[in-house]
Amino acid sequence: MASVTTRLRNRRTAGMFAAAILVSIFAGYVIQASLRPGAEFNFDSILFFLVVGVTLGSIYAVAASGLVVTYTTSGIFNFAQGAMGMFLAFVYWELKINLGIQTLVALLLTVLVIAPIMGALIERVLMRRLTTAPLVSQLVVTIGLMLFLIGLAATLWDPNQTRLVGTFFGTDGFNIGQTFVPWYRIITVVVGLGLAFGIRILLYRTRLGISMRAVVDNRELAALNGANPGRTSMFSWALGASMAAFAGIFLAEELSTLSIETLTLLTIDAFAAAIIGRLRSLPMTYLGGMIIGLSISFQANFFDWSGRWTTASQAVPTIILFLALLFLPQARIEGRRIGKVIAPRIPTIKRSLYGFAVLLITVFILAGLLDRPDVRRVALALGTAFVMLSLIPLTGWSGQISLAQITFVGIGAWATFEFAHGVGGQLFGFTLFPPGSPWLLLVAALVATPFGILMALPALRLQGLYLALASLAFARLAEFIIFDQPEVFGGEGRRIENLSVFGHDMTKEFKINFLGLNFEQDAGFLITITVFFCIFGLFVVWLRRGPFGRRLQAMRDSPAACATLGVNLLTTKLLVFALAAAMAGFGGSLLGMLAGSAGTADFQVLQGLSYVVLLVVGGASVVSGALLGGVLFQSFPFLVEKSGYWWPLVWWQRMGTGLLAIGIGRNPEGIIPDASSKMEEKRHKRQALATVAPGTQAVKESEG
Amino acid sequence: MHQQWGIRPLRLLSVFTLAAVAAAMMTGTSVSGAANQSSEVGISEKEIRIGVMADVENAFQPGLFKGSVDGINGFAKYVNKRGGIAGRKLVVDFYDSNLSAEGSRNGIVRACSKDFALVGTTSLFVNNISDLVGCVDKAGVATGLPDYPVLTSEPVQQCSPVSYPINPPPLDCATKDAAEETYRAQVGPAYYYLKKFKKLSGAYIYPADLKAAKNTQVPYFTAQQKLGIKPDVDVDVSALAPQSVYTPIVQRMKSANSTYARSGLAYSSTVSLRKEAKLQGLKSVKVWDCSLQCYDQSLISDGGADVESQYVYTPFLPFEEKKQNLMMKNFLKYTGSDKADGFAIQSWAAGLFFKAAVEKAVAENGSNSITRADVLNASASINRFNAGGLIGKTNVGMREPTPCYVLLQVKGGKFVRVTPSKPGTFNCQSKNIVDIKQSLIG
Repeated sequence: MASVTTRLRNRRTAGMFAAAILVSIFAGYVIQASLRPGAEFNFDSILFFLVVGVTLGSIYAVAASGLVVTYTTSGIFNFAQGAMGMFLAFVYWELKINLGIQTLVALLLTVLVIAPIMGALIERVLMRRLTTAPLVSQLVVTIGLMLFLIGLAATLWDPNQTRLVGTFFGTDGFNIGQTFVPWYRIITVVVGLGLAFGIRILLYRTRLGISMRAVVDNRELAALNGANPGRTSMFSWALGASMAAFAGIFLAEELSTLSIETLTLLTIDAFAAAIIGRLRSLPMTYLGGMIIGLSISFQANFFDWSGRWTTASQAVPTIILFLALLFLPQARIEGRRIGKVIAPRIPTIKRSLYGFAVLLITVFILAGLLDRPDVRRVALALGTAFVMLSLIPLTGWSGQISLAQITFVGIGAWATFEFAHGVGGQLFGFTLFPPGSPWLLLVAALVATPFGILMALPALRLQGLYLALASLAFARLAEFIIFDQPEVFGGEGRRIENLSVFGHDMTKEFKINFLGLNFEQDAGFLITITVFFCIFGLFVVWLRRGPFGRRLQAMRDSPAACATLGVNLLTTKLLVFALAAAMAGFGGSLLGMLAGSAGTADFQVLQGLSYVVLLVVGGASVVSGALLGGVLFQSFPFLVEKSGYWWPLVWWQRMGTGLLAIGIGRNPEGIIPDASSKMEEKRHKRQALATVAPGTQAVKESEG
Repeated sequence: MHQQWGIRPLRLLSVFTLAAVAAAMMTGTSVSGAANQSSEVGISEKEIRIGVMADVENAFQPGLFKGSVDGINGFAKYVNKRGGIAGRKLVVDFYDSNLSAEGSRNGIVRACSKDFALVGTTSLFVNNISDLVGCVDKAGVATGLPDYPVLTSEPVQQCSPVSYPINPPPLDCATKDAAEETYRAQVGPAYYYLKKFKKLSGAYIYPADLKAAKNTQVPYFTAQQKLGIKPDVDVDVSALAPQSVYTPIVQRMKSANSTYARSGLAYSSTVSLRKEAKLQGLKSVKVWDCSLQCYDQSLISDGGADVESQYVYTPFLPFEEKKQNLMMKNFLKYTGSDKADGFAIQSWAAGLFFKAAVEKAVAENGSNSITRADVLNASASINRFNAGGLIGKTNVGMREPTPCYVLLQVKGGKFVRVTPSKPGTFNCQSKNIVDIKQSLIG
């Protein structure tokens, strides 16, 4: 009892306990509200739920096992695992159906030849240079690989054509109780189990497995002991790719037609199983898969999701992921070293002011020259850059990875609507904020802030990859459970009015006679967004130069050292999450006003991933990186449209984001910091030469 | 022989004269032969520019609604081959809305400044219509951009004063802001099933990924349930669900002895449901029902023998009936049989409606003063439109859902007409539309 009291006095444990109670109350409420009337709990129904759950669970287990194998043997969490499985399932179809190769041969070719080659190539070309890169770069490269493979598959295999891979042993099978179980599902269960235990033995009982794990722990030390780190890593990725192929093919059997989307995204649902396995135990991962499968089967059998909880059934794997992240201890890979990150040079306020002035003048001229659709594109690029700006203190400086920024953008957009039209903006029957009021931007920031703090709660306990996954789960929960509530977006787009300052609609067209510039509709709003970007950008630079910025940078470099020096990590984390959420909320309000509407579909996790990816591509620690990220985000549809849908650019639109993100492997700090450090180097060289040159001359003269 | 040669030129002359008069009537070319004028945005002396906006490029399914673009391009070829509209050649501009609200809004903005109208719009996220309704014409008046969409998923577009969906959705726009909206749901096939099989009950499968997607199906399913096809299983399923997810649904149907099943998701959901039903030995179902989304050759190629006896109903004629319908023949010829799908044919029908509206405006005001306002007025007054028999008579002008349908069934790996049995016809009984009240918006 005393130890429990002591543990509860610990702030982290108390927070966890409070979270557990909250989650339990919420889950209990939802379950009570959704239990299907007339659902019977008898032997038959329970047996049936078990049979279906185990079948579904095996698919999740196999998908998650690949993730665990890759992580255990390379230290990289592979977001592209599902996409690799998808791609290899298409390859299997190509061999089996299109080329007419016998099923077993096609299977063996895919799993034992093509998949390992693909895995080894990915390791050699992309992943090897990432072993000591910051976690955010690792994640961005694997997300980039996922986006690239999706684009490549959509280009190679027309998604509008149907493709079937068939099943092993057709529809033969046997009955368990009243449920028919076909052989192909039994094969999935057995192969899943076999892989879980077989690879466990490989990793922990064989010399190869031990050296694979040793390479992850310490590459150099493993090499000193006779291991070949390069070859071992390649083998690890080859094995991971084979697992992905198994998962893709087993899942493909369960689909009426091969679908890029289903094959890729199902693995995201399988993340929960990998976390239950603590990213290292394959048998536990298998158990995790079973928990997901049984939960889905249970809710399908006994729950009736309707009304406000219509989309909640989709959230089951995400809820399991969130709970697993919150309540299971994190696995640590001991001794693993992450490369030293060199912080880019911090610009002075004066220099930043020059930069922002140039941006404002450029945008002003563009606003006067471009037609309205292009003005809107530039405005959208800057609005997106504004949201990316919110990630700079969080991800760029403090190293906290949040994949949930899109959720705060959505909350900001919703607050803009709600406080202009709904009860949120009413006080004693009076509307506090008229539609389009600039105060709504601040309200959006304020409303998003507590959600940011809520997101920060897991961050107090989690870090690195676990935090990234928790934020991903948070964003998916918002997408499935919060945004579709009738009080939020309610399943339709909400109208958001144009920004209006002192009664003047900022989107109205205007003309400046002196310069002869005609400003189309929305040009005024583009300039407004740019002004806000400059103000907040300047604030971010000021913040970085101050003590808070240094504290964040220090927290990223060494949390332990920070704590030792008396920095309150708890407050710092809460503050940076709150700041990032407030800025994203503000950005969401701006984007909502620009779009004129907002709905659940605008704030899906995948779009949020693009924000993070392109920010890191531009440079996650500098304001100009956010600007470049925003421009890149809009450049793809812009180029395609301007080129008249020219096919190379259409292909670039499909694969460009992925390829740019993959490029981060070569340049983890992003394009802008890399370019600026190269310029700096050249400047130093020139200066050095200039200093040396007079001396050289003097030597020559004395020799003469 | 001589007599024949003597008569022939006369006949030819009369045919040519008739053709010229008909062409003049159709195109509205003034008999005086005055040159056409540029009377409106998107209209020049020789051309009428129309835009087609559709979600085509996106991450997971590039080419999603390309059918609509193909349909309009085919329609333009067909019309131009026959002298164009109002004596002008039809030119098509394509705008990709990229499955996003911003893409849709940009498409509308571009079309407003360049095109006379949007025809065949198939964009899922048109949730802001301010630029559509507020589009300024050549005279500087905000008359709106005439919009003839194929798909209208957002209530604001469904009820937009300038949008005339070729297949009007069930929402009664007069009740859009009421506590409960009125939906006019097509239940024609349900009458047929109940007449044939007397008593039915079974599974209704709703899309689970987005509430907006579920809301599109709720009125139809509720109307059928009120008509007497009771639900044994009411369940939400994700579009990404593998076949195993259907096992519990099939088992529940088995224990309830269900005789009916319908999925409101894409055709692939119906295929998964049918395959799982076959695996689990579900034999009690008499009616496997599906709407327009299943009228797709992929249903048969993916489902094979498992989808035999599947019912599918459509608001347009089956593609196989080109012998019975000249317009179908033209559609297949100009669009291409390989490109013919549900979106393409409805896009073509939207093109025909646009043509009818322009010609009506021309008949009233002449071909030199075609304006968006005139065409919008003309559109509102076209109340019995059937696209040359491709669709049943529909009150597009008043945005009333069509009571017309053709019921098909998969037999021997082919779609076979069930009712009405006569090729080239529709069942258009007024009782096919049932009013129901529900609160789905907000």
